[in-house]
Amino acid sequence: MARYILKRLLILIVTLWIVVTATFFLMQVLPGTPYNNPKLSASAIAQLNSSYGLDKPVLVQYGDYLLNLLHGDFGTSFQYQNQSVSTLIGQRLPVSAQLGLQALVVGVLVGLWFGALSARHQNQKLDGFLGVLSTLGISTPSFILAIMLLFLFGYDLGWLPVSGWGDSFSQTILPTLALAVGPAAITTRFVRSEMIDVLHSDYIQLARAKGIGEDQVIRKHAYRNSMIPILTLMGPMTANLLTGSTLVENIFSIPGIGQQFVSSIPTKDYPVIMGTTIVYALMLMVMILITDICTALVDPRVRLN
Amino acid sequence: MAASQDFTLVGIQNEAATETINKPALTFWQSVWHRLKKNKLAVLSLYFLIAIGIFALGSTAVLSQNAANQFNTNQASKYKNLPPKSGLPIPYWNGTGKEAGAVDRTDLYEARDVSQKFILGTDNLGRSLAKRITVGLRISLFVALAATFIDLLFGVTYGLVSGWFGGWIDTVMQRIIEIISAIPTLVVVTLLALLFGSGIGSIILAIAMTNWVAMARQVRNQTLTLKERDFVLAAKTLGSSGPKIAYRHLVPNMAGTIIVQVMMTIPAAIMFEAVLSAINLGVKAPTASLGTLIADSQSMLEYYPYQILLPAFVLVFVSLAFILLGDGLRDAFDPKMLDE
Amino acid sequence: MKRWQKWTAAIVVVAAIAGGGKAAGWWGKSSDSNKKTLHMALPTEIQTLDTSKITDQYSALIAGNTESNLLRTDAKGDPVPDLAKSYHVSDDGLTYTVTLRSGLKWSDGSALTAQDVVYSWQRLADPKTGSQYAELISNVQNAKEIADGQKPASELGVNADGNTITFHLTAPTPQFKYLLTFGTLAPQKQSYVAKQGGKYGTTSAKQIYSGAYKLEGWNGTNNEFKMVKNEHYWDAKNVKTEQIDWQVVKNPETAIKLYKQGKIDRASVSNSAEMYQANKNNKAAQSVPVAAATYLDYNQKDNVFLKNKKIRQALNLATNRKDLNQQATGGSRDAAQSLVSRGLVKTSQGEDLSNYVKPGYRYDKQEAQRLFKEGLAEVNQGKMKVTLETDADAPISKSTADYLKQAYESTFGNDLQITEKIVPFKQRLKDAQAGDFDIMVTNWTGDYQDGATFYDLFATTDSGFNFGHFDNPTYQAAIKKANTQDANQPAEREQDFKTAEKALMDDANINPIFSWKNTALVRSNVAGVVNNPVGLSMDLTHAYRK
Repeated sequence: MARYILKRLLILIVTLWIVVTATFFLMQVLPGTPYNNPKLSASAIAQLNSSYGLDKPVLVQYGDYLLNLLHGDFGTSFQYQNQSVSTLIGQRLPVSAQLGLQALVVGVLVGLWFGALSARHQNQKLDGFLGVLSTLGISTPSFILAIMLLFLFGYDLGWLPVSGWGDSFSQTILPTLALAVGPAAITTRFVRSEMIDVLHSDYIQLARAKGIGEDQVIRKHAYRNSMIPILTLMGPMTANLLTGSTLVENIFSIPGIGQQFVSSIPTKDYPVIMGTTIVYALMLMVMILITDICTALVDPRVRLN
Repeated sequence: MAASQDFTLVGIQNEAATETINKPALTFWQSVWHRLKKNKLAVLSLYFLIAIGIFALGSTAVLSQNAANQFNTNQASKYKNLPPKSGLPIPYWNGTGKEAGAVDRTDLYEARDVSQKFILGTDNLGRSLAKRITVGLRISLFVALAATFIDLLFGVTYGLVSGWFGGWIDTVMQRIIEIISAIPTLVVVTLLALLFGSGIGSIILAIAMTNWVAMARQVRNQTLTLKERDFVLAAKTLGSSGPKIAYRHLVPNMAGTIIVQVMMTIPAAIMFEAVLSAINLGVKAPTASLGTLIADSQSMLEYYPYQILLPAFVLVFVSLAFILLGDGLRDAFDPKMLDE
Repeated sequence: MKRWQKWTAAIVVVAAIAGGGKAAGWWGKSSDSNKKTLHMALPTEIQTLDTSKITDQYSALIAGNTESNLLRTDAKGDPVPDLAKSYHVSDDGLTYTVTLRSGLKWSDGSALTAQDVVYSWQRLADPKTGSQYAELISNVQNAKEIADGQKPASELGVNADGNTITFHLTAPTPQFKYLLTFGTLAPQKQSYVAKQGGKYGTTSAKQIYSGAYKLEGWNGTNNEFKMVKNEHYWDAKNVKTEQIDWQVVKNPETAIKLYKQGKIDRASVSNSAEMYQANKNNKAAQSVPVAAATYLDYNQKDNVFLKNKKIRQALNLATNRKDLNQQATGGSRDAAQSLVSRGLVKTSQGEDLSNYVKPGYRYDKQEAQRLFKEGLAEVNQGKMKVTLETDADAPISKSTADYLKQAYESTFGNDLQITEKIVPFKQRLKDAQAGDFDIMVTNWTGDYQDGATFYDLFATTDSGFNFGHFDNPTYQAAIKKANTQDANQPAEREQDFKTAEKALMDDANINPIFSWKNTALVRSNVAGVVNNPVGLSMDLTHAYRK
């Protein structure tokens, strides 16, 4: 087990290095300077470049960047002057993490419930309805959903706050809902099919044959065994949430990391773009790693090599 | 009280009938179709998609991109932001609406003396929304299909090569896939879109470059299983070349997996196009895809909600149909359901 | 199992709620209805409080209200003493002498001295600081040499002597007094900057304030903070507002909603045409001019069609500015009547500069068609195919490009084909500088309240912002005269500007389309706000709730 984790961590680091390298050189070819002021003359740009060390050969800059990265230094933002990227990310990450976690929890809980409901009533009306509902959830990009929710509950009905973060829990409801629909839909579909498999399996038939009530069968036997595979969904769902949160954070003015990523693109604030990319990649990879380890721990059939 | 009065022995009436096999012999595709037909939603989706496809293709003959982009600059104020009008007394579809800032719904067609009927209304420059959505749908479908086609070519080849050769080649190729899937798609797509500049071509490429991974994985796994099967071993012993085996034996046998994967990639591509549009990296104006129509009319939701809701509905329903059909196909291809 | 599940679910839900409901209360805090508190919204985050490094107008807005400079623009648009007691300009316009008020203090209670003013200017000029606005002060003696690294920053032509500061300029600079109002050029305390080092200005606690308010509660990334009255401000007794609450609201529709719910006192309605139209008749809507203009650059260096004067004139004549403004912006901007924007500055006679210099742009379809035919014949290259480039950063840009394409193509029929090219802002800037465009929609924001902030754009054929690289001797001569011979003669200078505008229109070197304004819903009981077309867009120093 320890060796497996070690090996995976090693791969993770190499992957991260490749991600850093690829993004770094990609940044070099994007048009424009990282300076906000559009009125800079060529000579002023040259001076700024030299004061920020951007006139050095690309490879030297790359080396410096890697070296700093080893010390946990992501550089200094161009857009947020003087602000170190690690501070920016450090302050914004908890916000995004809270939002993402809330969405994940709500989504998975709803998904578990709907999925089980669907499986129990397989091929009945409820199943069909939930099936269409969950497919609808998958086919609606979260930013479209966010806009709709904002206008319906925030503007028209005025039930919930329309922007901001940190003042009250109610502010988090709309963005959480917008983001939770995706995981909820994915989980519903997954749980349904897993559970149907389980319900058709021999040991469940045996349990039924013993005369245990359907409720009991589902609660005691089916649920547990169909929940394990949900772990494998965590990776893709996290990836999905990351994408969704960038736009949703922007719509609701939430000071998270996604909003920062979006706003750093047009300004070419590349220390921030790179820092965010690295953090995103890291989060995703760690999530996948944890998923893999958990799956292995829970399911004896999966062997680590 | 004789039992014989309650039950009669039926017995075998016709011995010959039991010998005939009732099920007609079906080819692989026939049986898939047979099983697919049982899934009403999937069939409905299939018909819907065929209709959409015919509509999109057919519309190219009648409606050019330019026609959807044009408007009369001198009369833009007369025609702009007209609500949908069906010509029938259906609420919210009868040409009434609120001007921005107004309180009451009025018949805007009457107020502005417009005799034309725009069944889906007009946008902020007086262009018919029906035309723009038609063209937008066409472009979104084109982007999605083109991206998926690239995925298909590249992903299948990649998966085949990786699975067939195995060994260190496989290891290296799988590592590459792991790295690519470690970067969130949005980051990759935005960076690539920034790099290639805006335009349909670059969007297609950006989407394709991130979506092929899933396809490659699936195909590799299938290849790994199939290459141990007897018919492949036989072909190998008979001296067939690698590409020939891949083409003759492997691909046809994993057609199901590939088709299902394609059905999942298309809606993903459609949605990613919309996300790209939302961060201003969509197709070039004045031509609009569904994504840009939605993104551009975000500011309209408060005033003219139909302008964003209509393209959003089209996008959601097309994606929905693809996913439902994909689900249906997966079940239909599933060998577990063979005996049904 | 059943119990286990229930507990897990319960714990998870409680944890999620607890995470969300921070100290400020579970379900929203009660709105502070204190009379002495104002509520404002900012459309983007604060980027920095390091005044030398501010590059965006909203950080500048915060700095302008929390830092004071020597002068401050009053409600009439005139610079009046703020930290300065008085100022004097020499007859040749080359020396500015400013006397500070006595007893000035920073928000931490330490003394604010003339040396702090000098240090701030030196810091801006020093290339090591990496300020993006060092060019703003290039007319100060030695500024260019310092920027090039040939001289140390201490050689800058700004000197302190007791309570007096002297600015030495290399050329008469009529707009110089406006620089003395900028928050970005406000004094900075050297010992404080040194103490904070690289963290200077990254949070509200890592800056000291010389203005009417001090900022509190900004940690570098959060979206809510407040300004609190600065008791050490020299004019604190005339500052009636105790606190201004700020929140970042990125979605402009949301800001309007918050205004209507009474949660903020001001919300801009200029973001989209529809938003403007829906709110322009609101009693609370107020428009203020913004020193910014939109015009078309014609590439007159490389494009064979646009080199032709008749074709350019035809395009200008085919531009129905009033209708374009109505359709594309919904009236949220004004149709341009000159290169210089409306409401920028008044002439010596008290007339709006734009009204004074306007050369008479008009819309004439027949004339345009005639000129286009002639021009096309002169070029003799067949059908004219050009691109129209704009950036996609505001909803208005796209509809502007759509409208122009349609208007030109319908006027000139089959002789013209326009392809729209909509790119991110940085890409457009790069294309503009490289001359890689045919027609480009350019937005220019002025830096100070003087015509030169627009006219210097095209001072020479190769000046940095003459993207079309046009050569217009009459224009260039007029601007040169305005900058040298007439620099200290306001009336003559204005006449030069008028000549230049006329020359620009006659040759149709550019095509002015919009003059900007900002319209906002403003709470009727908030008074004393000063809106400037350039510099500090909203000065709250003397704002108060009635």
